Amino acid sequence: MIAAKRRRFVVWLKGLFLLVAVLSVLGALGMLATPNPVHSVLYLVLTLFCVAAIYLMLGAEFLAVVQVIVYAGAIMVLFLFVIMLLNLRRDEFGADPLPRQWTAGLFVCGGIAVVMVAVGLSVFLRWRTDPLQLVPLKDLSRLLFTKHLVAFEIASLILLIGMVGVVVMAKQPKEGA
Amino acid sequence: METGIPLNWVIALSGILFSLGILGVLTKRNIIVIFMSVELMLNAANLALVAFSRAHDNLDGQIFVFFTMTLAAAEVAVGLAIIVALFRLKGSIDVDRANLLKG
Amino acid sequence: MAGTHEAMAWSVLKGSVEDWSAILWVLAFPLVGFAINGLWGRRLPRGLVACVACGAIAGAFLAALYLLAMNLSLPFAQRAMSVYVFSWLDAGPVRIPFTLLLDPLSLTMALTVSGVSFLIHLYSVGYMAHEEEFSRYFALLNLFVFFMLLLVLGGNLAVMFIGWEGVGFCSFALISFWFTRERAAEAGRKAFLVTRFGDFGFLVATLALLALFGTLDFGDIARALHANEVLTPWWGGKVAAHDALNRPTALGITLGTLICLGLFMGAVGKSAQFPLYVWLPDAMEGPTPVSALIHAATMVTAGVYMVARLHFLFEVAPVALLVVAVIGAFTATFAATMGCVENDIKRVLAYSTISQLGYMFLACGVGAYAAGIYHLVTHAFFKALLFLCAGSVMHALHDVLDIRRMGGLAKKMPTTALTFWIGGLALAGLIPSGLFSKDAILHAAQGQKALWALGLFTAVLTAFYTVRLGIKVFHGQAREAELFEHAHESPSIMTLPMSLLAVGTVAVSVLWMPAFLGHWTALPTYLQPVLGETHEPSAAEALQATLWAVGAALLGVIVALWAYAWQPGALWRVAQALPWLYRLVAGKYFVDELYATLITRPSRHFAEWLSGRFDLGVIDAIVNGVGWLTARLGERVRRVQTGFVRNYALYFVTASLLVLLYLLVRGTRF
Repeated sequence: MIAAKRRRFVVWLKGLFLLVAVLSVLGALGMLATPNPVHSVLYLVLTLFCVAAIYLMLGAEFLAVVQVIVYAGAIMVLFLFVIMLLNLRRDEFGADPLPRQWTAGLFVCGGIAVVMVAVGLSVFLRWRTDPLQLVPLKDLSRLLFTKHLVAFEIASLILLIGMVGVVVMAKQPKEGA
Repeated sequence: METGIPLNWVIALSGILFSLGILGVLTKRNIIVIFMSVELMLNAANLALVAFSRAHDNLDGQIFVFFTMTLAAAEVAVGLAIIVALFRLKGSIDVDRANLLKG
Repeated sequence: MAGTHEAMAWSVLKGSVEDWSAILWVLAFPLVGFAINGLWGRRLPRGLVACVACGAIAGAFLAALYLLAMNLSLPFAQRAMSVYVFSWLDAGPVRIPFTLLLDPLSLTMALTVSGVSFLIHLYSVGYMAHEEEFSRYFALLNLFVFFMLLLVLGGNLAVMFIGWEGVGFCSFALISFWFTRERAAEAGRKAFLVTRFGDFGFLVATLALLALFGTLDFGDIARALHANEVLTPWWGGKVAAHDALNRPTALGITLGTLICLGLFMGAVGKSAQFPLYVWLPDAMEGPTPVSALIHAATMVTAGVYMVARLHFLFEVAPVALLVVAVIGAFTATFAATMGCVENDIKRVLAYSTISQLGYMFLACGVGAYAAGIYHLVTHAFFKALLFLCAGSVMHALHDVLDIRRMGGLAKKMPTTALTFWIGGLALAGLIPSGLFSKDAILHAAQGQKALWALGLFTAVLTAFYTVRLGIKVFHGQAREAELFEHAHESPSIMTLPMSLLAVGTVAVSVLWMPAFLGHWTALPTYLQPVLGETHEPSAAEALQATLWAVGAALLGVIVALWAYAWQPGALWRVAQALPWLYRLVAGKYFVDELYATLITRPSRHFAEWLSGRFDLGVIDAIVNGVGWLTARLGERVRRVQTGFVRNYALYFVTASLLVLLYLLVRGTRF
């Protein structure tokens, strides 16, 4: 009885995954296509949300939440700040000095995509644990504060340095200095 | 036990997103958009990491993602500061204007 | 035909340089003199330069005397000593240490060289007093003495060759001392190139000896030949020494003969024998003391020394010895004929030198090595003296060389005239010591009637041209009045060495007096450990030989007196009767012209083609082409740096794609 329910749920989940995957690709394409930088940001946010959803479907709920808060919530907002600071409207550049860049780029990216998809689809991967079981946060944090403690501390240092660096670099040059 | 969402498709999706990110880096002229494409690439990598973490039942993958996000945040901050400085210097965010290193 | 002595076991002892440091002093003095005068001579006062130069040679002479005393104090059979200085070449099969050889022959040569050099250095101080490049002259002269001493004191063929080449270079440098004069520069070049040609044979022979014997040491080779040792030549196998040398090669000539002929080729070049004599007359372009020292007394005798030193090798190849004798006798006559019609005072003496060298080679060729060396020593004295007299005359007449413009100078320059006649009569073989040394050679040559006849004929010619020269320069009527007016005797710094040489010319005859006059055989006895026994004739035989020689000389004297003193012009009429003969001899048999057409001009054209069309056109084109290619390539490659970040990113990503594909194909196992 429960097994049947589970099976139905799993099928439904697969369909949802496909939907979300398509949506994320569309978001990425949209980011590239639009000439308006603000629109690009919004499209990327869409993609990020989809990725968060996929995290959930993979059972990593902590990461999904962190993704939304940090990535979509902070990083993208930062992008928006800068766009507004620089007062950018539509992209208005002149003639393209590298006309063949697009075709070359398409070729190369197409190649990479093909390789990756082929590899991805052919690798043998199975779920080891119960897929419908979320990852307990306790295990994650225990790992973080024991095995990866040093990395944790260093990461915080990097954030500090980043902060200081940003302040220094973004300062307006003083008048008459 | 039953399988959840097919992990191979997750990897494939990660690959597609990654190559789209590369496409953006190579082709767009707006520095901000190029930077955003880099973020997209990072996300694709994170996605693959989580998928593999679940496949091998090893939480180290998710820890890795955690740190990647942290560093991505710091990196975005610094990178945008640089872009602002560049804008102040060049007056434009067209990446093709920054060609002083030509031979 | 082989030497009239029995082969002696020549035992050479090994000495160390501590015991015989005097031998290094002999070499060090002239070398230091060269260094001082060469490096700082220009800034030193002339007196100091002269003192350094003369003092250096005096030091060498005294050191040689000391060595002589030490050598004489040793027992007879132990007078040959090889002194090891340092290990020079030691690479695989080639082992050539730097050794010096102390033995009667090398000491005789060293004393002669340093003694005569010293007197010539003194003379030069006066002769070159007005010369601008005073210090360069003395530096080169000292360097020359160093190399000559190294040549005679060398313990193996390689060290001797260093000296050989060194004196060749110094000769070149001194002949073209006034190199701004085209003729002097050409003469220097000619000397160097012609002797180089001979040196080629010398080198090949040396290499053959090294390959066969494994060593170039004189003592080792002599011992190997005497004991007929079994050798391991470089071309494999084991063979006894005599068999190896007697093995016939191309045209039936034995290997030993080939080697000896190669060595003799070097001697022919260096000692100006036929056909490589052409450089010596032209070498008179150099300063007269240089002609006296290098081209009369020392360098040109190096060939004779070499043949005497390696006599044990030539003994095994009698054909080569015959060649030596024949060429010597022929050259003696050939050169004497040209001296009879020459009008340049120095050139007459040059041809005379070539002729006398022929005598020395004749002596060696018939096995009378000691006689050849004796003539070498006496010739050094009287020929140097004659050149110095010529220099004195030139000095008085402001470098006039043509004897047809001279005459009657005996009244103005008595000392010069007197010393000239002493030297000249010694050259003609009428007064000791020239008398004794020439007699010894002619007596030894009596075994070969043809060669002896040539020797006698040459004696006639020698006397003739000597007396001709003396009369035309010093006696009779002065041809040009102003020249005669200004003539004066040379300063004593020049006449003193001349007088000393004149005394020495006569005094040196005590070394070897013939049987009918007391029979003092100091020299041949002293040289016996090296050169073997010399067959001493009985008093009657010696007297007979002397009478033949003196008779020939007197004949020449009488003809000369008749032609130039009693009946001037008579000989000229004879010459007019046979115009073709006169033109042939006066034109030096057109040998120079022959060489010019056959060798010099084609070589020059080839060299010009090489330097012009080939070097400039081909090689420079290639080198410049490489540069041009690099520049063009660089221009192309430079365009990769477009400056556009997107391009760089594209390269980046494309490369990673390729790496990805490679990994895919290969598998990721590292």
